[in-house]
Amino acid sequence: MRPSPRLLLSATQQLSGRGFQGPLKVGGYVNGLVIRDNAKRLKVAEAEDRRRALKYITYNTELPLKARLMAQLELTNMHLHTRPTAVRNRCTSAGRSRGVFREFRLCRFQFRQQALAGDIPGVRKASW
Amino acid sequence: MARASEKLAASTKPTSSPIQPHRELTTMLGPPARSRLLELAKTSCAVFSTTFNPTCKRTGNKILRQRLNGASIADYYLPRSRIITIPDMRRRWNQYVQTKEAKALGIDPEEYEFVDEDEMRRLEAVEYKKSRGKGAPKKKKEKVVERGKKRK
Repeated sequence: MRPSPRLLLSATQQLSGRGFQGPLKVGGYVNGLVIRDNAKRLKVAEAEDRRRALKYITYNTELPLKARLMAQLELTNMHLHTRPTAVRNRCTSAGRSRGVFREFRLCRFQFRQQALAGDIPGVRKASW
Repeated sequence: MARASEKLAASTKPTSSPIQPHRELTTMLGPPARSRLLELAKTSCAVFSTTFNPTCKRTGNKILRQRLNGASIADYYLPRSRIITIPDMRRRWNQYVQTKEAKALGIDPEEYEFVDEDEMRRLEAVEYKKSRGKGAPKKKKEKVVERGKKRK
């Protein structure tokens, strides 16, 4: 069940074209960090049920202590890319990690440019 | 205690207004018994279909109650196949126009070509600049002599 440790390697290979791993899955602006983040997201979605079940066992004080400890250990031993906190919202058209509006999935500068160009429906510059 | 308070309540029951504030009633009658309260909680749980947990044990139910958000996490970036831009369509169309299929349908590739107007405009501007002698400089063929070390 543990994700492959070669995850990162395959992501960088995809970007550089060495060792073809199938078509690139991410569209929009693509760089290594975006691919890495996307790979993390896929792993998180894959391991979500398992993580949730293990978390439930550890949190349940009704269950025997040993089972809870085992579940906790299992949780900590899972690959770090299955952690939902490891994913980071990145700008879909610039790849920036900071100043990203969640609603538009764009960083502040891209948002401004696209909004001024009229590419974002329902958004226009305020003036009063 | 309870009985004494009941008696007291019976003796000092005001007759003027039938409705009394709730707080006064409880102070007069004393608080309800714990077993009664528990029973109330139990029936309320049965009625509203919630779990009866009087000792507040941590059963981890809050983990199960949370929504599964893996699908939405995985769906953040746009998949490559979903984005079709105008340049993509232009490229595909211009490829199609060159095929035998299109010729069989009587599509003339010269006439039906999807022209990139921006690119045309740019090339025209470049030509115009060149004609005025304002074009880009030619590349040097000789190797540029390297300078000495910049800094120590």
